Amino acid sequence: MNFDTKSLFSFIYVMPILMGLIAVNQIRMAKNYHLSPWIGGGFGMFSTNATPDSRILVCTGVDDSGNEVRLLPDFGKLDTEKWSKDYEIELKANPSLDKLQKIANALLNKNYLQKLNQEKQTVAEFIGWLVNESIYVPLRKDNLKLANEKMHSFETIKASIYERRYNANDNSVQFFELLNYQASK
Amino acid sequence: MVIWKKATSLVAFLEAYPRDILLYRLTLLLLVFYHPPSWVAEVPIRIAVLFMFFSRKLSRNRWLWLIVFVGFSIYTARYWYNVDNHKYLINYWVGACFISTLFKDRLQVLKINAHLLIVLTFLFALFWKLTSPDFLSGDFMQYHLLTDSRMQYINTALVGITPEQFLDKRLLLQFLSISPNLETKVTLDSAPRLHLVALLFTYITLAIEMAVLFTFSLKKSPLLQQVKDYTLLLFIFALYSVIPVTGFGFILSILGIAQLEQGEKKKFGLYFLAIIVMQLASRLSILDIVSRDLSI
Repeated sequence: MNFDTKSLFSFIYVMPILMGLIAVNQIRMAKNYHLSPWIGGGFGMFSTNATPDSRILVCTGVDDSGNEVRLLPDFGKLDTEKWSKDYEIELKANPSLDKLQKIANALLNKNYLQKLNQEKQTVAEFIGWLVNESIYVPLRKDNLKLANEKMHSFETIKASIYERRYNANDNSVQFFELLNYQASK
Repeated sequence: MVIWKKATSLVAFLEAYPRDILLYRLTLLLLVFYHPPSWVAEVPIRIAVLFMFFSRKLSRNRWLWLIVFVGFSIYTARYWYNVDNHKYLINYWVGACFISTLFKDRLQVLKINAHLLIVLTFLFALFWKLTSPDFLSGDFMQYHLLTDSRMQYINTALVGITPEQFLDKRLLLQFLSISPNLETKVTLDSAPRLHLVALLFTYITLAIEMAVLFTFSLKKSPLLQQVKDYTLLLFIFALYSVIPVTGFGFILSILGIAQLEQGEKKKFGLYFLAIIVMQLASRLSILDIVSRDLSI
């Protein structure tokens, strides 16, 4: 059975109404929280530099002596929590303290091995630099470490979202901290 | 001359084709090319295509449209934080296709929806551009000219920054992004014309989007109704020349065709041309032509 356009007239407008509602909600979330304007169906693409890709999850461990080291938030190894397969993508698009808290607490429960930051080294070599920087990689299970490897643990973990921002006045790019959560033992 | 005649007769044939069927099938083609990367949306599309392309009657089948709409919507709802805006627009249009199959006058329903979706797209896009802290100042465009590889050829041609300088700064930014800190600052290359070119692109974008919104919104002005499709076509072609977001160009062209009156052959032909150009853009963008990367 097919309806006459006058008999179910308002039903014709369901999609434009839905589009308007979703876009208004996206504007509310982006203006009041940290949702990237590029995301969420509000049509804010190509209007601002605050893209999800401009955001980075930065995890830092603080040891007993107060030294800060960079941790690799490898979700596959953080098995005390359940993660969606694209948790980091969601985090960058729509960061919140709840999500950072979950990451920091999961990292706090783990022991770590010190490794060369291979990814950074590779890019550095393209530029022509040698950077022997370390990164601490979580162990899924402690018995997976080799006999000669030293295991590290951290009393405090900081999980932050940094956002890359462009300053047109001096034509420079710098990271700023958008949100952070600190968990301690 | 023969090619021109063949092309015009093809346009005339397509223009005379039952418009609702044409729109349903164009939408299916769009879905086949740019379906969401998940089985929940892909499987319904594959099933629907099998039936809809071989039968006019089945092209109008509401149940087939419903499964496509439900599959697409589940994907969009699940990955809402990672779905491009034009995919939301495609999702709404698929919903409109389904709703239209419930009515006797399907084309009228499609026409109303296409018109409103175009207006809302540009209304919200303009809202964001006008309220953004870094768009009107030209900062957004300036940053993209300096860092977005899709705009590198514009940067080289108009601003004068060499591809090598561009690549160096991109590597530095990549290096900084791997393990960022709050102290390091990367200073980008500058040139005397940089800000002027950025402002020019900013306000051209704004002017075209405003023109689309203005002409599509004021339905009572006969003059604006005459020119509205040319503003949308200008936007689609301009989009291709700068940033080829093929799916967005394709859905806008379908929406453009959907809201046309029967007999507007020239505009119909131009929207079709835009769809073809968009297909070229997906594999042969101006960036490829300028950078001469024509490898197969």
